[in-house]
Amino acid sequence: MNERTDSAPQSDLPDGVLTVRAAEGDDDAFAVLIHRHSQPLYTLAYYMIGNAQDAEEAVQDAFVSAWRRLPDYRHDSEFRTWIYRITVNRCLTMRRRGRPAIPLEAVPEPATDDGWDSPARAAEQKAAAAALACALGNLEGGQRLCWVLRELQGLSYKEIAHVTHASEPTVRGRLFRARLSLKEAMAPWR
Amino acid sequence: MAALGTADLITAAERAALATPGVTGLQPFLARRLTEAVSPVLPPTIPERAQTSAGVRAEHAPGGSGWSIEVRCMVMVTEGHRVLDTARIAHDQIQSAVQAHLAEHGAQDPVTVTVTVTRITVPPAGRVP
Amino acid sequence: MAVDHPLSPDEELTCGRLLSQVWDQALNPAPAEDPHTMTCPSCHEAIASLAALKAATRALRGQAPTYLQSLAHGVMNIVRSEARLGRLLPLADPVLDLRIAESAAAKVLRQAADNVPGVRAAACRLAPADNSDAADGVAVALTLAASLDRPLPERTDEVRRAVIHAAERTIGLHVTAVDITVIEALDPPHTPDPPSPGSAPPETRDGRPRHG
Repeated sequence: MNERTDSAPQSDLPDGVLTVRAAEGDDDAFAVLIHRHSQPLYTLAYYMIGNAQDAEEAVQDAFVSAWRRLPDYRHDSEFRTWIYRITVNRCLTMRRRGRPAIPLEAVPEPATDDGWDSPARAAEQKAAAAALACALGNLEGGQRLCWVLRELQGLSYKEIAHVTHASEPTVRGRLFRARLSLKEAMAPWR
Repeated sequence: MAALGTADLITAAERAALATPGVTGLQPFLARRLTEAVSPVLPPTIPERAQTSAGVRAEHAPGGSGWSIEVRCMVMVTEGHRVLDTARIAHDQIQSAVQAHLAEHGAQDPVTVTVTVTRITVPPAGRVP
Repeated sequence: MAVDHPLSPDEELTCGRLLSQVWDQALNPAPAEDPHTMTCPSCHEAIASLAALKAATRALRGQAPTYLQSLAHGVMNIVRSEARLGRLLPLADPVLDLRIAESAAAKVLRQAADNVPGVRAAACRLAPADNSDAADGVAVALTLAASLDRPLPERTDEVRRAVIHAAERTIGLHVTAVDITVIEALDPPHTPDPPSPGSAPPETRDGRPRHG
């Protein structure tokens, strides 16, 4: 068998292997982990905190914290769960319930449905998303967190429970109450 | 030896290290707390024992055992030049430079140099030799 | 499932199903076929009430704020300045005090192991060898993921040779022993899992069953 003549890229390694390497000081392995996870973490932080700048800071702080704590990370949970937990804690510490992701003034009235006009449709969708973002900002923090993790990040209930240090029934309860509130908020958009 | 500037000596060591082919940079030491400055009454004294800069630590042991220089550097590997080869050259160049610097000030303390390679880079195009 | 949270205002629909469950099912990205739901009018009504929320959620997913990867540079600067060097190991010089950080050597040796087909290295630890007649001997301990298409001893021997070769030829490190543990099987190249809704990160790539 021929040896590969180029070095094997780290970007196709699983999180578990990258984490072991990074814990031993391999900063390139850690860079891959950052690249892989920063977008979903940023989305989470953005909706948790409510503004982009603080969300960026939260994610950066979370990764620096993870780097420092990696030698103690015991692989009893997945890296993703672990970094989500660190990020959630960072967001809570920053405690900026903050401005909604999109300012209320920017939310236009719902348009009438005239289905054939696609720019109007697209604009209405955008406005609906903005209204939803506002409504998200008004949810209680635990409900918002569960909703974002479930609906925007696609995490399983089990993983959400691990990330939020809550039981699965509690997660389901929060999710249900979030959906109730959000459904009401979206009523003008039916 | 307060008259002989430790900072100048460190600079000489730094320059020699960075001039070594294959050395791509120096690895900063973590910032040292000068815990010797204890009493708020007395003015803080910078110990002549150890000063650091980015990548070079210099210590003068009183009692004749001379200067001890520690250099932490990052190295690039090339065909025919192992990390060890570059470290050897760096060692010799640093030692010469520090000895020359001491000689300019009329000092002949023995100089011990330790080289620590903290990072290895392999050039992107080629295979690791 | 009984409602067990005292504050949860769950409703029981006229058909007997719980509202929370009906919603859960409707919003599940991969819903199971349920004959009751398909024909029950109160379930339909409950699901229809979610339509606006569902559409808005879809729109929101598409608008996820984009994280600039350039922001990672700030983090990497800090990471590199807080380099974890590990132990310092002696380079193979009998006279001079030349050392190498464990983490730096490990990177080179892991890469050598990775270049053996069917192998990915995970942990790589180095320690001064205390049983060596040379004062500068180093012992290496590696853990690997390896694919099972060849007998493992053959593969680990190849890794051992590659590691010793790289240690001598690239670093100038005198390796006296290479201890190898295969900790998991490497899958053959696989197709990625279908994406979950929104910006969910990819499923684990190593083929292990997801735990937790």
